[in-house]
Amino acid sequence: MVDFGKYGERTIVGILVVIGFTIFLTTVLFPFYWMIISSMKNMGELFAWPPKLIPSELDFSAYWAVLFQHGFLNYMKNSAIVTLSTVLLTISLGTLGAYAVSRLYFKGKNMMQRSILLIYMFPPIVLVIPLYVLMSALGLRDSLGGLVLVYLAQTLPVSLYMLSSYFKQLPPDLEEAGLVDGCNRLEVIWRITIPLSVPAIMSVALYTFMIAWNEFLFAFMFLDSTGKFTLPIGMTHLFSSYHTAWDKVMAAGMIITIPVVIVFLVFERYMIRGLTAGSIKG
Amino acid sequence: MNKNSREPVKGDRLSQKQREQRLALTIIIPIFLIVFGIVIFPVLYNFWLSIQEVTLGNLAKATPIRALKWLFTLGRAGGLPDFVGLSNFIAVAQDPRFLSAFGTSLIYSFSGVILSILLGLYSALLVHRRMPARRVIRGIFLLPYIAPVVATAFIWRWILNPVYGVGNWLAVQAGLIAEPVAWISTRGLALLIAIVFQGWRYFPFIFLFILARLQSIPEDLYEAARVDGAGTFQQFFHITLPQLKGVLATVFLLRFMWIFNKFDDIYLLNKGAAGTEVLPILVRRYSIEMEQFGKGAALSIYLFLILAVFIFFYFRWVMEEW
Repeated sequence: MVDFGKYGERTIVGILVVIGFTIFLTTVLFPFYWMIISSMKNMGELFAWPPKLIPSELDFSAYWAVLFQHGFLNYMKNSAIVTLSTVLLTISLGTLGAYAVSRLYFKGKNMMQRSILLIYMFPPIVLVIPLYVLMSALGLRDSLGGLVLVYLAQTLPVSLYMLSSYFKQLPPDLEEAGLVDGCNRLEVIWRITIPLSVPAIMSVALYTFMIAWNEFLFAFMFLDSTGKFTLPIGMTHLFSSYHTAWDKVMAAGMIITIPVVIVFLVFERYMIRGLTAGSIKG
Repeated sequence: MNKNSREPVKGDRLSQKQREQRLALTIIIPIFLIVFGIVIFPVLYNFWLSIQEVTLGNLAKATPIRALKWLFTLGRAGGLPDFVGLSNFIAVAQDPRFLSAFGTSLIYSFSGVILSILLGLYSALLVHRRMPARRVIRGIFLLPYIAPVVATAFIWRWILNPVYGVGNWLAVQAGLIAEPVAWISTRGLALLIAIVFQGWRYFPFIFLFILARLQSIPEDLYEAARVDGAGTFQQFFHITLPQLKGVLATVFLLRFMWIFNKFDDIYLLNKGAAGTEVLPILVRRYSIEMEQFGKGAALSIYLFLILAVFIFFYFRWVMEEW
């Protein structure tokens, strides 16, 4: 190994640190900065050459156009419906299911525990063609409800896995005390297990939120009518109809990104746990 | 208060156990039905589709009821309206696009994953130190992974726009290129961009894993090495890297699997044009654009098999060796 000497090595490390921070911070931040200012530039500055790195005035007309003329208000509503339903169903079914897996006995429990993560490993691209045909045959394809079902199958295995491993760490004494006091199992879950598991449930909820809000492939393949588009599909639709409306496309990008960033800033702690434990597939 | 003072009789306890089992089943069955209906059944249904000629015209014949009948009688009840045997599989294997997409997929997945691992390692080492605003910087580094893929892909397209893209302007200013380039529609460059985009978008995932692992390496190891006079680089190669081996091997496997199956990123960047057609893009092309669902199903089975073989050998060679 090359011997840089004590001070030489320290200099090299120092240089690597400075270069590293510069490169990472600029390459991560600049694209987002460019989205923000492009969405607020007027037409003249948007297509200026050389590009204007700082706009001289802010113009919000692209947001207005995107929201009220290109249907993004409706796409937002659809995305909100799909995301909220997926999150609520995932945490309620996931909590009950994980409780059953970790505390109750039923036939086939071991097999189920072992296959939970295996199911999660089935890649969406393998499922999308049969699901396309299947959903078409059942008349569920071009519907938000069908989309929620598909998302649930993606999120439930992970939430079962995450929550059941959390429940197993909880001391069973409290629940037993609850049972002795005359609560039934559902009351025990509601009054004892859930209050003790708020952090884990939050992580699952945020993880599910990210999946449902950002999902592209299934929504893109299944939704046909513009009235039912979610935000990601709305954005590709906007781009394919107006190829050069970059201010509008960037405004649409902002509208999709802002809720995710806000949720991340508020719930960073839970989010990071969900990101590493569940590992968003993608 | 009858319930509390009741004597625990054996028969009663048994019925309590039965009650619990019934509760467990009422909870589990709906979950099982969703997962079965949306994951397991489609996988089996895919096999059924792959041995038939299914086009948009006879899509109505490909009903799940027929497929179920066929599955449950192990094929004896018929239910294959347009049986073509393995000809879909043969047609896919003989299609030159399949081989080229396979090659592209391999290049894209391998180099993209390695790039994101290098970036993830570098960024994790940067953040794993005492410094001000550490949390803020960690949050910033996570942005590309958290932001929706549609938004990030379109930002890149806009930055790389051949006529107005700021990326082109910056590259010209820096002297990297003489004049603006059509990055995502030029053969070769497009795949390079797709790989760089992947590295940029997914390094935070690896960053998080490595950062967590770095924090659990015992400080004594470093202290002992310092006492022996080891410098920063020696500490990195002799302590940090060996300690990270397990995480790196796991992260490589996860990322490779996901990126090999990934449709969104390349489709959103340039729809698989200019030499970026990977296998998942071809699955959609067969099914939706060419309206040959049987062929699409056969290709997705190939995709699955390729991945299964990869995982098998990865466990054999990498996970066990390490």
